[in-house]
Amino acid sequence: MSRRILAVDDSASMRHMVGVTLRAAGYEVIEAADGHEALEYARQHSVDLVLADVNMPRMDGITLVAELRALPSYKLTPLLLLTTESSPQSKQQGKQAGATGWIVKPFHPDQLLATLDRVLSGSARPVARAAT
Amino acid sequence: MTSIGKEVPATTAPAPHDGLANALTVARGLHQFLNLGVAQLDAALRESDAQVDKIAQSLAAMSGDLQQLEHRAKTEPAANCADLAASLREALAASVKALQFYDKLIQRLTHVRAGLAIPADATTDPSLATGIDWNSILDEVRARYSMVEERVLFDFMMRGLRAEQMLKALQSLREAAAPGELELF
Repeated sequence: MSRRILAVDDSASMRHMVGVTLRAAGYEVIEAADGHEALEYARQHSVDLVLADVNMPRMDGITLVAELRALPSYKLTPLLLLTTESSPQSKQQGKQAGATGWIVKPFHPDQLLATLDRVLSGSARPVARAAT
Repeated sequence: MTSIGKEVPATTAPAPHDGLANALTVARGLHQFLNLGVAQLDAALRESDAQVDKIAQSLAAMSGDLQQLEHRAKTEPAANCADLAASLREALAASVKALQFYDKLIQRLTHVRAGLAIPADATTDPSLATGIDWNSILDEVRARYSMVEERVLFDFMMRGLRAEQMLKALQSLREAAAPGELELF
């Protein structure tokens, strides 16, 4: 069974880039355009990892992380922030909100996949789903 | 800390040349914002151009690999195609990385727009333009920036650095940012 990743970014092109990269490696990818949309999804479904942008309309990534951490089912879920923002102050805010880690854009696909493998408790990369 | 038009005191006693002094303050303020916009656009154009060039190179490489792959697939064992498949994968990965410039470009242009719209709105009514607090407008514009690069560029502008100096410093900043690496908390 493939791992489910919730990719959150207000940029459609970024969601495509993340989606293409992760789906090619066998992950199931759910896309959300902002923190609010992501939170709605996360409340009703389980995901194995959340990969969220920081600066988004309606609800930013740091608020999303804090909201998710407040949910009992997301206490231990890896929550990564993938953003162009790299200031120490912002990282500190992410850490305080409960983020697992911080990745500065742009990402290299292989590097992102290695990161997800590592964060998802070192388990092997998910088995690619059979083409339908 | 930002500062504009310090030569003209914010509050002065009424005098015949007040109108001219206020007009100069407004002109200085707008000049600063226009210069900032130019520097931001220069940085965005330069980086975007470099990334689009990388995408074009990747596409050219993929096209060449694909042609070879099609040829080998007809004439050679499948195992001989592995190196070409790996090369294609590498070119695709380079394209995915380079394409992310677009996300940055949109953010930058959004902030350039705000940097022009905010002072433009503030000076719409000429009768109110004399009381504009340019420093607070500058701070408002800076607060909207979502990238360290933008804030650094802004601060360089306020310090009066030349475009070439700023772009060089930005390049160093990008190299130090270690994009793509995970920082675990």
